[in-house]
Amino acid sequence: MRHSAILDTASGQTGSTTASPRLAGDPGVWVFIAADTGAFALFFALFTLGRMAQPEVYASSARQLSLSLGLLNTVILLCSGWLMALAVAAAQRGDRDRLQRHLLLALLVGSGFGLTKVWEYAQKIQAGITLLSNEFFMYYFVLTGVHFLHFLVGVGVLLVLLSKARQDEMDSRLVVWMESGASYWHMVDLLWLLLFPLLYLQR
Amino acid sequence: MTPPHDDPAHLTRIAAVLIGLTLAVGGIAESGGLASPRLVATVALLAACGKAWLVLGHFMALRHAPPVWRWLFQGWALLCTAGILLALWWVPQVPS
Repeated sequence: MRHSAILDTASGQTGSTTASPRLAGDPGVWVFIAADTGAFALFFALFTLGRMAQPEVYASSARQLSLSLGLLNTVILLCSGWLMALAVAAAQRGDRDRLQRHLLLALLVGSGFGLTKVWEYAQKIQAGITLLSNEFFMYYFVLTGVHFLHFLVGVGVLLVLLSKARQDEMDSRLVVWMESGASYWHMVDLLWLLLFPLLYLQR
Repeated sequence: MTPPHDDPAHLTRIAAVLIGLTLAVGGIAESGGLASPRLVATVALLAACGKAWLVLGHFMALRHAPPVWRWLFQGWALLCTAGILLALWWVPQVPS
């Protein structure tokens, strides 16, 4: 069966009958994800300490953020993450058509996050709210800005994966590429899941 | 044999739960359905932690990974949520 064959080769295992634990993709990507999520944990801690010192400023500033746009971005990233997971499953089954289709959809849906974020930044700047307005907005622009950079890198990763899905052999190496890229893309989603209540909902 | 990847129907069910949770929290926050903003933030943070666990386990396939990786990332989500919640309840409620 082609599915099993690709999976077995991807992990370097053959002939075994028991399922053994396996990290999806390249372990180096996971080391990077661990370091990156660790850095964001530090950002979260700094923001939280700042909020403890000035709760009124942080609460009134959070009320100026658009809950609807934050929610929309969460749904966009979750949908894109789901499509990405479907793309990885298709790669593991050796189904090139579904892999390409799901990757393209993950990219298109995910791009909505960028558009919404740019719209939100523009609204804030038009209202005279900038990085220098107060400490909350300094953290808001820095945290969402760093996250946005991760998102842009993720878009680049998806473009590379799309090109590989079109040109490369459907083999174990391609599966490892897909799993590694998908893990990065899910990290962007994961970070937003915590950023959203941290910034938008502590009112 | 390596652990099989989750089948598409399973991934779709997980996505439905994730989006459902997000919309439910959004509905509560928009309507002011809970007594205080602090309660809304608490519910949202707990839901975010649950969603992070689902993304880690199912989309990132960590439920098929060696336990140390699972503990590392699930612990990260739990620790971040617990820290933020502790600080949220530590300071007095700000009148809205």
